[in-house]
Amino acid sequence: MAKITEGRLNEEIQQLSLKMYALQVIHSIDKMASFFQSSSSSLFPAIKGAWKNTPVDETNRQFISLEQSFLNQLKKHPAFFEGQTKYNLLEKMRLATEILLSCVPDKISLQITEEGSIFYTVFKNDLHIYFQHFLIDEFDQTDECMVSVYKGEKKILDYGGSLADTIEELSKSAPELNALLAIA
Amino acid sequence: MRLPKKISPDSLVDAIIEVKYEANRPFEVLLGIFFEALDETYFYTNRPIKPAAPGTFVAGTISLFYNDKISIQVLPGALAFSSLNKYIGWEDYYPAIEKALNTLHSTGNITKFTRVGIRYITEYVNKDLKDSIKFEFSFGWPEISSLLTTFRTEFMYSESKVILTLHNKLPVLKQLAVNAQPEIVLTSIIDIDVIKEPLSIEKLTEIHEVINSGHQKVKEVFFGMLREDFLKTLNPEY
Repeated sequence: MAKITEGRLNEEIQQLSLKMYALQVIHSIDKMASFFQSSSSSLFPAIKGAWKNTPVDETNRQFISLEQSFLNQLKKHPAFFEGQTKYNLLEKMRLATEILLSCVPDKISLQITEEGSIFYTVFKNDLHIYFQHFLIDEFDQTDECMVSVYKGEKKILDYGGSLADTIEELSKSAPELNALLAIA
Repeated sequence: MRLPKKISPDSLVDAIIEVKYEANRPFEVLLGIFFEALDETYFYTNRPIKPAAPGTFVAGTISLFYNDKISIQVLPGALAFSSLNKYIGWEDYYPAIEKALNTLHSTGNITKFTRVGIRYITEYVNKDLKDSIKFEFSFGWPEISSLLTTFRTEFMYSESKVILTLHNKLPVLKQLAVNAQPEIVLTSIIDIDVIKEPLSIEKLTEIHEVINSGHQKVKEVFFGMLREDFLKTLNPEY
């Protein structure tokens, strides 16, 4: 089977950038109320003044932590993604991570699996998101994903599909999350 | 006023130092030069830039270097330093920043520093700031008692700009323990941003002085606001 090319990867990134924007829009209320989070990323000043604030860390800390975790696990289990380049794996991991971080999670972690996937656990308020990203090594095929979202103990989303579609489905479950924030 | 060297818990959620610079090379070239200059204790990574509008695609990435203590976000015209994990105290934090800044400056491509911003953000859970700091959360309507308050002020202090933002008793949904259901907790924030600009500094020693002086001002503003009895609960070490 043909290996995924850098060009193909870029196309996928472009397509997903649109999804990322959709997520951003849906989370715009969240951004407004972003202060109501424990993470540093939520600490942008809501009020504009004459002087410009020094920017905060946003989710850099979480991003670095996830990348370190991924690289450490990859080093221990290189066979999980046999035949794939580290460059592609890292780029795909960064993309999915970036999308998940855009909801400013309270907690997020990842685990690589024998099936050649990255399993993310994301906590956001009382939502628990379990997101599995299969890094497909085939030309003309996008990465496959599965996502389950629990609100408390109730499952509110169960979906499997392409990375882009899964992110879209996941983002549809986000308004409820924003509503929760509004109530809070 | 005698300032503590350390308090515990410090309750800091962020301690950012941003240094703005001018350079004699295009940013793309500069990034490569910085990459070469920083030793093997630093890792490099990048984050995709989020699109600003629907249907748009933003080329490029956000460049980050990090070691075991700090992260450095390298931007065109700005370097933003942050602690990698929890705040490690100025005595450990600043030498790590100083080392990185010296290395980047040693490339000879930073022509001058134009702004320094130092922002410390402290978060308290279930704490009413009116009991902790010398600030009256009231206004000219005595019978009104605010459930939550946000206050921002900008002022000059020792020739630096200060943006002070206080948030008192904001209801935040938080998961306080693993496997526990999230609950609404009242959260208060003291956000102090000390800015020195405009600058035109070429010498490293001078920029280090400005950063250290800025940190001192952050401490003066923070500890200057605290009530004595609250400060005692923070186990200050002098």
